[in-house]
Amino acid sequence: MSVDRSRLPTLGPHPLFRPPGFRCSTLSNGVGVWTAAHHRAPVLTLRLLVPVGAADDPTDQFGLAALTADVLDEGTRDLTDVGLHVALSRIGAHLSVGVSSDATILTLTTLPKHAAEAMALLVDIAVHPRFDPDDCDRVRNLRLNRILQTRQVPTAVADRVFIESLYGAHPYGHLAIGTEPSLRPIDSSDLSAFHSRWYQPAGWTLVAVGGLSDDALLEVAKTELEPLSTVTPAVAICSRSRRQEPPPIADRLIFVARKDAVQSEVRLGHPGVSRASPDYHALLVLNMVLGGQFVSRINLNLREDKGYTYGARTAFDYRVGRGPFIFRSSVQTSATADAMREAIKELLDIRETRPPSERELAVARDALTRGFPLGLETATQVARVGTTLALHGLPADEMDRFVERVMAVDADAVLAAARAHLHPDRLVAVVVGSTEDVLPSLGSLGLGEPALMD
Amino acid sequence: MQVTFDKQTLDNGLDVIIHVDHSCPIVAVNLWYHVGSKNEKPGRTGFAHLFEHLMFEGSEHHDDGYFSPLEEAGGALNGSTNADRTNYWEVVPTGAVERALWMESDRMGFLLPALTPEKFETQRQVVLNERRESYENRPYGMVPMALMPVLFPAGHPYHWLTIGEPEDLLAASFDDVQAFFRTYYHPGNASLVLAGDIDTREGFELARLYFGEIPPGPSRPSITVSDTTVSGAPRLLLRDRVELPRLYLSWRSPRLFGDGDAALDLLATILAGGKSSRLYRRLVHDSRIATDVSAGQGSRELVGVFSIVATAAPGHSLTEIEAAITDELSQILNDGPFGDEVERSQAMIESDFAYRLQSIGDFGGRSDQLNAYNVYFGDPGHFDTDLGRYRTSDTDAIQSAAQNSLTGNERVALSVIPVEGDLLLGLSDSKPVDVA
Repeated sequence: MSVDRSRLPTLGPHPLFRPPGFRCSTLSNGVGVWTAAHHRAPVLTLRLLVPVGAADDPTDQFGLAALTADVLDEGTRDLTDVGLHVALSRIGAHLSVGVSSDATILTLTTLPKHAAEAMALLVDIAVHPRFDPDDCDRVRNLRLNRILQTRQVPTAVADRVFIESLYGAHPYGHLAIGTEPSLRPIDSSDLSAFHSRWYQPAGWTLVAVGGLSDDALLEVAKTELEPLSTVTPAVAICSRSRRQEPPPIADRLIFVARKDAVQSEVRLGHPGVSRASPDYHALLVLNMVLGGQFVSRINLNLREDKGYTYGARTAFDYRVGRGPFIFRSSVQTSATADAMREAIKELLDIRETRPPSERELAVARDALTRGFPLGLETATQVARVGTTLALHGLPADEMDRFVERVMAVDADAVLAAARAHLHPDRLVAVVVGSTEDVLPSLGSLGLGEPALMD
Repeated sequence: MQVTFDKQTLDNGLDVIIHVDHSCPIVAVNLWYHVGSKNEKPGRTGFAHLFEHLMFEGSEHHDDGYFSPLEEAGGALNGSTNADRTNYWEVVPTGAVERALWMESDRMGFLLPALTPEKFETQRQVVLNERRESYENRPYGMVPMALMPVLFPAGHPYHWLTIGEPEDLLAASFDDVQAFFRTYYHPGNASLVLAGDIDTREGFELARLYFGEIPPGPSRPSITVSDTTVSGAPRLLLRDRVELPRLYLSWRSPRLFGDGDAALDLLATILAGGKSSRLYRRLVHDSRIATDVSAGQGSRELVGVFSIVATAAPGHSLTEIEAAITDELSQILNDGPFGDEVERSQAMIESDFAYRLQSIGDFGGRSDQLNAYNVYFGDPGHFDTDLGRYRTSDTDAIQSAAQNSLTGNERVALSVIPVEGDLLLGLSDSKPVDVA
């Protein structure tokens, strides 16, 4: 038998795949626990969702939420910082702390046989941080040094200037790490106060996924979490602040000089939608056509047709409030304005002259639905999905309906979503690049006069 | 953890390895070609990686982008090139495995008829942009360009970087493409893993169907390796657009799976793996002269590189940092690790192993690891042996591995300082290097 190379093999039916189900419980003190047994590998992932993020930073203390989270593992009531990390390494555990605008998530990955000890350490870290003044100063200085270093990282500069220009005084208008002047005066008493106000177990959700039964996972969680005392947290307040409308935009085109840069770092975008948008699934399909994967229009145009860049992508960042819609690329210096013009044209075309074709839509829907199991293969992936659902108050079985909802997205829905949520006439553009080689060419883009920033 | 498999070699020399796991309806296709930048010729550096890009530009029976038929199938895919090998992978839902095999086999068997000078030119530009994005326009990005030629003097195939020199990329010709493909891209120089929701028999049948007709090629040309070693403890100084000085200490070290390789992995963990490690505590936590520190045993097929990297805190020089690192190292060289350091580093490495092998696909997942063992060892079933060498590396083994490799005379020290920074920020007597 030989291969028929006259055509590609047809695809089998859509995969029959039921996403791993979560079992949800609420402990007597209000802590939510989501468990999913998962036996693909001997791994256990614990993710503790604390609903406080950089959006809750006081306006004169940008970086407070992230610094608080960063100092959590610098020792607890009973363990010194070194003692704590010795205990973690003994069980081969990885701890990571992530702070986004919306939330703080502590992730502990270990082997299932260490579940009880891992859970105890995780809760100790979240509940009884030591906040020793000297440790707080040390970690704050490390963060100040990181801010200093990122001044030379073009991607970081572009992201910061973009977010600040897009959101201004809105809670989403600064990066989680904060700024040098706001971070410098923060001390251990600020961290303790922030921690006692926001780290209230009644607002937490623990997502535990891995090689133990649901009962065993719940039991381990209960042992450590149920005894915690708590007051009702201020979740409602913070979600209201995130949902404010972003203020009007001051400058549409911002240029940051980077002497002799061989590439320009480019961002284009505007405030997008919240995860609660009824257009969520239509926008997933739209973005696959526009710039969400390799074969998207924007990447094929800028990389594969023109060779301007190693890659170009667009994304909607679905947050509790309206997260940004962003185009991102590093483009060679000489092609900066041309690449931006092409990207803007793609945004216009997809909602005006060249809406997604039936073929493009079918490809996008298929990519999302046929590829669905790939995103839920490992315990770590499943735990990540669970945390996202919990953060947005979505039902634990939400993913059961994902394929059906994406398949129901038709041409009208995508076009309507594009017209409602893509605004090529209201773009903010940020360019980090060479002044003499790039700046003179930007005036022709129709985005107004470039404002210079650093 | 157990990763079970079956292996067969087809008549044309292609190794086929099947790993079954039905717990998720996806299949990983992972294909290694045993060619990397160490097989390049001087004057044509960067070619193996540029060639990898061309593998995504279509083949005779699908003369269109490689991504499209697989992304619409719900697949994820990528490829990468390093000094020793080039790998390509797809992870697809079960119903698309034949499509992935059709695509992989078409580019192995029928790439050249679809290649045009235009595609070659565009990808040359894409690669030059990749070099700008990942190296030239990134702080500390040019460090490897300064370091590798000194660690591996001319005549050694690790002398140059996989990304290559821009003038070499510009000099590469369309004829070079054809010759490279015929020499290295054939079943006899490749290893295929199918992993996941597939049965062993079906896997072998499909592999034979799609790849069996592709003729074998020539045996791989041998490479010459000069044995010029490092001597005289070279010190280099690189000025870069950075805010804080950074010190890179490097030594040649045991090759992948060589004697002492695992011991040096453990040593790297003891020195700088996490906040309870020696150098983190000494440099970042206690004396606060550094903002970060890392260590690693980067093992490769011919020889490895052990490195320690630390960034100075504002107001501190790399001389202070070097003294502290040297002091910690001499304690290891004289006394070895102590207490539960070895045990904890073993626990970390063992659990990292499990985390990495959660996935059947992607870089570093089960299929990629099976191919690594097969290509470098001729035996995919090396998981237990691999883990075993960590379990058996004790205090003495770590101490003697450090004594064998981390000797003063063969160390290369590179100081990176800000463009306008005071020379005193770097190590004294360092030789300025200029990299384009």
